[in-house]
Amino acid sequence: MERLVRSYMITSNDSTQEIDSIISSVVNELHNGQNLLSLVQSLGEFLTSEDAAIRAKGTRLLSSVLTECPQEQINDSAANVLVDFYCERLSDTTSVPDLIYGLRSLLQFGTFRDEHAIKVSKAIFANVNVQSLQQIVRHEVLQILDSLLHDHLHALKQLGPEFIAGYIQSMDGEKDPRNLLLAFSSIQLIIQEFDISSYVESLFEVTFCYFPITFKPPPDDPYGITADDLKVALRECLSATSHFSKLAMPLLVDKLASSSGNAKKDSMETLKACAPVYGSIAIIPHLEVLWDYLKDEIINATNDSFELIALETIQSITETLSVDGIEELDQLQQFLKTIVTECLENLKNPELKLAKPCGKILKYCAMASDPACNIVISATLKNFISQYRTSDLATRKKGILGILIEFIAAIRYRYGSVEDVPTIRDQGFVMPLVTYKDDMFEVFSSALLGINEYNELRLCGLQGLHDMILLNKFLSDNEIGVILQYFNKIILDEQDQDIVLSALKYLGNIAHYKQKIVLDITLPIFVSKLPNIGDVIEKGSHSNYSKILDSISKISVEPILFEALVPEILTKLDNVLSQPTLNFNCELDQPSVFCDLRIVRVVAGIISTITKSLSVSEQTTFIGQIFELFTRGNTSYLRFALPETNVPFNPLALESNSHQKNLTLCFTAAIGSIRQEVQSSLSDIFEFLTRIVGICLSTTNEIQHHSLAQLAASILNKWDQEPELIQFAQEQALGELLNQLSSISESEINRRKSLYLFLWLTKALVLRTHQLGYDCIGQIINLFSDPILGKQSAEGIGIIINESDILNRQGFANIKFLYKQRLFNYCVPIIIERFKSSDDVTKHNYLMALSHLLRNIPKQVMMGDLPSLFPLLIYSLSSVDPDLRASTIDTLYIISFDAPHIISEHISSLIPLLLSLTQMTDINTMKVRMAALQCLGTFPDTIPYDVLYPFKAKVIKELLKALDDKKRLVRKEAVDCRNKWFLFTGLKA
Amino acid sequence: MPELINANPTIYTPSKVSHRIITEKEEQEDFEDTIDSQEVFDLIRSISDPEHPLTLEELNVTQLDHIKVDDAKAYISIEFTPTIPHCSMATLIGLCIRVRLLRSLPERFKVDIMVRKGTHQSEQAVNKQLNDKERVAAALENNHLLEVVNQCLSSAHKRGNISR
Repeated sequence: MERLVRSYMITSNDSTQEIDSIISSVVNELHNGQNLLSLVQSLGEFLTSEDAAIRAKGTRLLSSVLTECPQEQINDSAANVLVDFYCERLSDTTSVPDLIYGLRSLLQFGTFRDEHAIKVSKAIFANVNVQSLQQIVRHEVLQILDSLLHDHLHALKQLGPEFIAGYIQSMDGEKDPRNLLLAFSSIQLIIQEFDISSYVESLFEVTFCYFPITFKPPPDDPYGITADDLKVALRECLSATSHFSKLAMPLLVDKLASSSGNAKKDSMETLKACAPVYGSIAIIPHLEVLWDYLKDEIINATNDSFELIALETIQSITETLSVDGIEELDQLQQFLKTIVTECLENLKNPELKLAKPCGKILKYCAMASDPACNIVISATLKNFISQYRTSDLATRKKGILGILIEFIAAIRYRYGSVEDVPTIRDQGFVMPLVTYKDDMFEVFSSALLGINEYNELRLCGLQGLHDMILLNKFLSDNEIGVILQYFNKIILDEQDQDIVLSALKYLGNIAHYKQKIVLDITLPIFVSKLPNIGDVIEKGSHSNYSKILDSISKISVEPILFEALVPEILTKLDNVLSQPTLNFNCELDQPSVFCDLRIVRVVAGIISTITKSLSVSEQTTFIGQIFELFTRGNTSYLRFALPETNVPFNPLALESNSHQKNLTLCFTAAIGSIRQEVQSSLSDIFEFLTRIVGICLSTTNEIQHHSLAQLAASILNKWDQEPELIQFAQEQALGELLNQLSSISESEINRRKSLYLFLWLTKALVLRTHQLGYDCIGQIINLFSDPILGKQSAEGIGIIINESDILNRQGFANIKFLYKQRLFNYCVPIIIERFKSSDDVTKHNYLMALSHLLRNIPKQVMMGDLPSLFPLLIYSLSSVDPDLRASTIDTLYIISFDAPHIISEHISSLIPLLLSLTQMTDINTMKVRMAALQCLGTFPDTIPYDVLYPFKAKVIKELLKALDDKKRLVRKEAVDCRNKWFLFTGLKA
Repeated sequence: MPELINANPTIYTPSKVSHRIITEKEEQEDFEDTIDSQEVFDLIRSISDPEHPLTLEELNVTQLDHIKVDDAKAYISIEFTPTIPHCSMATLIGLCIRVRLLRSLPERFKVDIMVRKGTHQSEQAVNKQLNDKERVAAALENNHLLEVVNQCLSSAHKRGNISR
């Protein structure tokens, strides 16, 4: 121990590593049975040295060891000795930082007791001049005091005034935000727990001097303290006691008049927090001034957040005045009378600008309390309603309804809405609006039902009725029923889309809370409008039906309504099926639902959705039936009777008619959506797949060809027998199929069909990141230079990387994480490498493929390769293919947000190119011109001013031509782009 | 806060019908869309008022019916209505409209911008200023003024699609 201490004392203060190792050795010794006393004894001579620096250094060792010292070393007597030692030493100025450090550790020990707390705080107050210390030490002191307050509050309270005075002295003049945050929280505790009556003034001074907080954190602030943190902490102090009210109120009111927005806002927020604590007595003398300032803030609001906080402050003041007591109520009445009178004055012309803010003021007053709500409503509502009835001006009427809607919102806030669980609180009150219920009902209804009325007014009527329904215990079920009938009428008969859509939205909302009434009133009306058996469906009525179905779907999200609806809809569907239109042969003039390709596609979609949601066993049964139907022509599982016919059902047969073949879509939809384990249970997948591939290649029906290619891909993708899969892929795909499509002797149509299938099989393998998939991709890239298949194979990259309807996660496809990235990383180096040495046509194919890849990968993946890809992108801009041009510009558009530095590097070549793309030529289609203008328009937002500035004059001049483009849509982009460049002045908006 | 010239103007809810719906012809490559009054109205309707955070359309300063466009003759006339007859902002509002159109219309157009007859005390003086090229150019050399104009124009691209 002796040795360790000596070597510590001779170590230089800079070699922290050495110091740390000595300290941990000492701590180790203590853990191994050595006594703390031996350390103190060894340190003895240094602690009593004449040299202050040596004393400090010795103290530091002791303090450092204490932070890691085992609990059991500090028994009662050790604690006594150490506390005494540290406290006495505090007069030794040089050692103070090290002593404070040690004291903080001492607090952690279980043997540190209340009497120690008193001793320590007394010693600190008596000996330490806190504000003369460094920030970090001051922080330690404040932390010690804070810990003492939390852990030994009871003992410190005995010190009473002495502690308060000491604390005030310690923090007085503090400037560091970290320390202040801590001090504010301690002071709040002192205010709440101590008797501060004799120290009100000094406590107030030591806190209010920071108001308003003007702190701005440095740009790369490591501590993360915001001005708001400080504001909130200070506000909690100021609003912690009503003792402050007399001192604070005049100052806060004064600051309201400040020209600084920050001070104003802070004052309002503080007033809002303080009003309920300070109480009405403190507020009353200032009411007039407060109202003047706050009113001004609301009426001339330039900033929504200021308006809101001013309104909330008025609410808080009103609430404070609403306490019981005759005198207070009198004050409340007077205060509200001033407000109501002034607002009503402005509301004489409710169509003018000031009406809205005044309406809001009344709303927030009404929200404050039950008496306030009663006063406001009874003083104003009658007025508004008679004004509404006597006015002919639609905009004025609308203004009035706007205010009534604000009132309903206030009532909902005060007395609850239908969604709240009823509480005891609102049972004693009578909602002040009840007296005016009939009037409100009448006013809103007449606004809504006026057929030739101003639309905005009708929309207000709609909203008012809806909002009233949502009030708690306001309208009876009968009244709600009447409103729903209005809504029904609007939805069914109204021509104006805005009104219909709002009505539907509100109805959906009401259905959520009032299912029963909607079920009784609305649903039967809607359902009755749908056709019944034998109804002759008139031409042109389809859009009407779809509107009704759409409306039904909006309200049927609610379970009760859904349950009631499903049987109704199924009945209607049965009606459709019972009609003699189910012939799949589509002979002559017998229109059949199965002959309409649109319907077949929808049915396939439904089959796919249902299959995906089935369990393994359900799928197995279902698939069995599908196979029976499609491969054996067994129609016995169909729930509807097919008409007598001598044509067998066999969509997969070569000789079947085209309408039957189209039904392959349904087959693919079912089989392509099965779970992997269901597919594994199928017998002989190899044979089945080979058969599908055979039909796919031989059919002359394009829909069947596409559908079966996708089905084959789905099966290959989910196939879990690796050896068979490899055999199939090598023999069929990379073998026969590849031969067929590369063979020059084959017909072009056969080569194209083979390629299409090959692309899908490749997709199946690439999705599961199978190695053979990349071999296939290599073959596809080789085809880019083929004079016949080049373009199709480049487009094929799009098929492979795009999302598909059939091979997706919902359909249980085997899709590996990051497969797109792997595909991208496989293709891009090949494309970049071969691009240079190829002819123009092939170059174009490479660029097409690249553009498909870029459009489908996450942007971060592309960023790494951007520098090497950028020349290709620039080359694509000169391509003769408008689509490639447009999609490349879109890529640049995205890059300009995500990697503006790369755009900056090439800016001098990009800008002239993009400008030339804005000109009307055959290759620059509308799409290209618009994309180019949009892209140019982002630069002012994304590229630094100094890089872009040299081009400003040129761009503005060149864009003049685009302003005269013959297409209006292009002109719009040109205007936006050019104006952006005009506003691009290097100043931050 | 300085006194506002018109502290409590009437607010109009913009008609929803006034939005152009893209037609099939507008999407066809070869069809030529002429510049019409709706297009010009769209350019200026959402310029902000210098006094209020409201657009010229919301204050009924600009109206579709008060814009005449003849694309073939490359002539446009625009009338605007100050919110009150003694509004000293009228020239500034007119200047904003002028600058917006200078930046947004092809050069071939001649554009007359007038205060609507009988809606302003010094109608002629304002009209004269707004239609004198040199005076407009001189005004824009004043940096402070240009900043105010740019501020008013920063909402112009919204073309009536403003949610309040």
